[in-house]
Amino acid sequence: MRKAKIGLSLCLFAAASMLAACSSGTSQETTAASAQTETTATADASEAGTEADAAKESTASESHGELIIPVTSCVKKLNPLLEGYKEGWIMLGGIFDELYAMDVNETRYYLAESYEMSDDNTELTVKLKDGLTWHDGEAITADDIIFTLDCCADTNNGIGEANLVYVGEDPINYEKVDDLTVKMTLPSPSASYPEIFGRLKVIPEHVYGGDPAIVESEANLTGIGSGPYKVVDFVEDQYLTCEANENYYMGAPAISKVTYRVMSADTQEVAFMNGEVNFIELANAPAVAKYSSDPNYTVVQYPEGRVNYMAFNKFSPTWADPKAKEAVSLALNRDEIVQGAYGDGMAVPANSIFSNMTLYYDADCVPMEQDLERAKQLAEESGLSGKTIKLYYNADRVFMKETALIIQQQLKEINVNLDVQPVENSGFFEIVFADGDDYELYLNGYGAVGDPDNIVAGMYDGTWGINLEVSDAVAQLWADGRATSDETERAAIYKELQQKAVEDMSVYTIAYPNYVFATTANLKGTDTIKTTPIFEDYTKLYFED
Amino acid sequence: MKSFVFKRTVQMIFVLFLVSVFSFGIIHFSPGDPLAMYKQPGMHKMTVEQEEALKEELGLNGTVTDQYIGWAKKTLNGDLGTSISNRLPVKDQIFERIPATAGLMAASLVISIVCAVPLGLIAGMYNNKWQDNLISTFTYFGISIPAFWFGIVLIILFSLKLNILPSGGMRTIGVDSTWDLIKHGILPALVLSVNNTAVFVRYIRANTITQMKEEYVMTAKSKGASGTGILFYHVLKNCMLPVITLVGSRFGMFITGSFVVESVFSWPGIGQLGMSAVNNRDYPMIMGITMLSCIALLLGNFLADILYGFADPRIKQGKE
Amino acid sequence: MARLISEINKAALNRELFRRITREKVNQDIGPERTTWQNLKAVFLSNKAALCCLIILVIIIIASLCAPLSPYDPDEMDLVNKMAAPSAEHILGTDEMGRDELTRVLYGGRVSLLVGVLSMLVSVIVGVFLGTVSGYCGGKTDVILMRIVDMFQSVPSLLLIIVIYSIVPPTMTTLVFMLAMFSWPSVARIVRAQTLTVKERDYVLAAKTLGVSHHIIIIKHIIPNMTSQIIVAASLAIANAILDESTLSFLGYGVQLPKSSWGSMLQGAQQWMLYDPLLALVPGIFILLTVLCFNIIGDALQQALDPKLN
Repeated sequence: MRKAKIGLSLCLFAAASMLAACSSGTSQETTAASAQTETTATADASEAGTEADAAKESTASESHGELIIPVTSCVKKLNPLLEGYKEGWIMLGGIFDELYAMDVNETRYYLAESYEMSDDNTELTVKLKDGLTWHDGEAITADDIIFTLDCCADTNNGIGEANLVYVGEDPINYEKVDDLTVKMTLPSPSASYPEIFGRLKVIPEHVYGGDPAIVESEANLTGIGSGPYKVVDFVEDQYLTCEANENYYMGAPAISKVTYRVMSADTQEVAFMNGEVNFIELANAPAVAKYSSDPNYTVVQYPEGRVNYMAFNKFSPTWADPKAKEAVSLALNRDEIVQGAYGDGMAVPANSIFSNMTLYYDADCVPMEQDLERAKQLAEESGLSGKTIKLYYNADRVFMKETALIIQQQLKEINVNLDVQPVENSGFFEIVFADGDDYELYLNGYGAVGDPDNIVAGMYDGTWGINLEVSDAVAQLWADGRATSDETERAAIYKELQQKAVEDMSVYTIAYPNYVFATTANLKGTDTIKTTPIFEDYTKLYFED
Repeated sequence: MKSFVFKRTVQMIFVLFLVSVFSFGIIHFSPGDPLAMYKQPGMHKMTVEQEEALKEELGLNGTVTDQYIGWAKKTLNGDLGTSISNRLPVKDQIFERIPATAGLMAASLVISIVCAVPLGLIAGMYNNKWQDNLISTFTYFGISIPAFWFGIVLIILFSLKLNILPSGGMRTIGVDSTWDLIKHGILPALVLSVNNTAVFVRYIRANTITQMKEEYVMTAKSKGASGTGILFYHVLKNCMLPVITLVGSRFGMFITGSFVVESVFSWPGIGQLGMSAVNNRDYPMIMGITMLSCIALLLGNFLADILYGFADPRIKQGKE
Repeated sequence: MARLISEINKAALNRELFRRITREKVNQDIGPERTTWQNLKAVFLSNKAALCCLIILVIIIIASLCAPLSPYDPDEMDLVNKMAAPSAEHILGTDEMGRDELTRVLYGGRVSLLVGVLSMLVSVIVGVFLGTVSGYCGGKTDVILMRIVDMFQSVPSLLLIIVIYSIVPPTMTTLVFMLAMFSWPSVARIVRAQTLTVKERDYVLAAKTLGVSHHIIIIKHIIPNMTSQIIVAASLAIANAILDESTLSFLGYGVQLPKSSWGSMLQGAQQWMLYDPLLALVPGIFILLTVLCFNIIGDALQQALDPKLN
């Protein structure tokens, strides 16, 4: 028996050393931005015991100085221009600052000191703050902005911010005025351009050696940025650790260390409840209820600025008779969908194609409301009754499946059979931003924060949503809104547009989802600036004991 | 022996060729534009020339046959191409992940052997008695339990309810101790080892039953050796080599086995790389992982066969 | 088994019986030899565990078949009663959309079992066909077929299934064929090995000498002599198919809406793990139980049919 025990412990030791071997292989893949940071000493197997004690202590003190945010997927490169996903923007949010941020109420300046748009909406001049430095001490200048725009203009980089350097198909002319000033000359007027341009995250020209073909550059892993946090350690698919930038132009942030940990969605909540992380995004009403009632946690929720909608594919012969569309719209009960699919606190019903975070949003816009009798009658008249129609939804987005199922139930009332088809993310956009006619409906959402003449316009003027029915009247209103700089005039145009769009029945607007997250109760300041992705300004965050 | 090795090597190369053609075909007939990630809403449309240039760089030009030949030439030169999603060399990315996955698999094999040897011996020795029935029941659970489900149940139990183990990842950030690594690795290794343990136990049990009927055991028994003594000194000795070969062939499966477990436990290994490659339609990466996993499997089996031949000279390996 | 068959062979080569013999006749001539069905009966009568599993399986299958008898519609949502606890009304409570969990599990069982059985059938048919051809023909055919088997067994099937899933329409039929595509090789291997032994038997040689065509030899002489092995392989194939289907569904690539299998129910229940663990436990236990039963039965048959293991 004793022999068996010895054997057992030997084997356990072997298992341990194999795991150790695998750690030494991967831990070398670290990239430190600042030379002065010391990486944690590699532990010897014999010191395992003391190390473990140290680990325990650090866990205990974690909640004071370190903010740990879980993310489901990881950035591949530490370059904000090359990121296309929310998780990436979250991870790089503290490292790279934007020029300025505009929302419905105010403009917050970061790298830029001021911007000025000419009256005819064609010339934008942006001035940087003086004395800004990159994390490595080099000065931030207009050359960096020009370089960043060069990178955006190089399509081989695959950068998703084409509207920074193009208006429609025409390129924008950008030039340096002096060391701190750049001037953008637009080929045609664009009222929304200042807002788009403000979100630009500048990257350092000197780090990339001035070559705008940045996609394969080694420099993408240095993560030298302009924000309140600098990169300490990055291990792909594991974590990104950042420390406070003491020389930050708005003052060093209060929290000394921020770590983004890559975790599967299954385990994030367990980790949050265990105290392994301080933050979690909430995606369902029971979770919101649970953390709201617990004094150890704070729940923050605000409109995400998205519009989730069901679109009618105009290429489908089913909609040849507009009565069919009307029948579907009248059969649906928006409140029930929002309540059933999203639940309390997760969303509010959407009454317009603008979101509740879009400029000129009209809260009084009257959407299509349920009228079952009329819906049944129209379904009969248009021959829709008894038919089976197909709906696609994006399987990777939250709430879409539930929404589809409830719509399926509601359409049964007018004797329409809904064939619900999930499609994974990448395939989804190929289907719905194309001209196929073999399906009738799809569920989607678009971001609609700030000026409507950006994403929202793109959805309805044929840039992306090419299969949406848009009447000439609405198209004209979009064009008018773009060319006008007078505030009152624009407000009137967009008010009319929102109501007209309801009559067009291009889409059936469903919900304005909320962005909801919970943090440990000692983390404060998370609701100072209500934007997504989090956090726009890390200097507003602090821990309270 | 030499001719056996030669013959098997030729066979393996042939199988590898088949696998590469098969996988390449499947991957390239899948719809969906591999360049979709360069054509998202918000990006400016690429000109035809730019798209061609990008395709050229990523080896996506020409017919499928041309692309295959291009890929095969590069692969034979040790270049697995560039990942579409981050434009870094596929080979480097895969090699970076091997230690994590192999380490996990090795740990789980060790756990399996440690558990399986005594259990298998006991089950075999008490053939059809209650001990055997109990152990056999366990092995049936081992091969029947869905790994992902078991993983989640373990996380809830050990991480949430008991709060003694971390819920995922490979190490606590900033802590680089072996102990920390073991704490993170123990649940995924356990999930992986349940299935292996069951397979090993069944194998050892069957072997033990055969050995117990052999003359030398009878002789030892008649000489008055105790039950445990017989087991440990004779039966075990005769069971071990076949078990080692079995372990060899199981180890070859280390990549295949890792997909689900790594994604549940956020273990940063090849499985996770593979899952994200599939989601991003990263063709070169999927091909790279497929080929690597295939090579590992074939080599594992090959080595197991050779070992088996050494272990048991009765098996003539010239013929098949 | 092997020994028994050669007993038959000796009898078969008896001069009077030489011309026109069907296998059934031989069985009647030789007392102790039993048909496959008699064998199966004996196995279940002697092995209590196997019998127990058989009963559980039959209950699960009958319950799934009778699912429409439930007073609830599996897709009918009751948004007021979301995630209700078990009660007299809803025996296993309701899910996140207020649907009756028990009804859904039973309907899910229909899908899971159907996928399992169908993909087993496909893989057994393909496996038996290619396995016998490979074993019987030998030579180049054998080498090539076996390399193809090697190929299918050495690719990471999960990864490729997911890739294929984006090519083909994600219906249940394609799912069945995909699962079968990666499971027939193991059946083929077993069948080939068996064919190799059977084809050297005297009665096969005799049939060959008599000029009986190859396909008749395969159908009449070789395949009937492997029924037991095929049944064993089939029961294990069902177990694996159900397990694989659940894994795929869990990863989001399995049975598509509005149908749901146990695996896709688990996937849906994932985010409610901490709020209503029952939602995840119930389908998980059904998967475990079903797979367990098929495995135990398969093994019991194998042991009973293969005297070497006893």
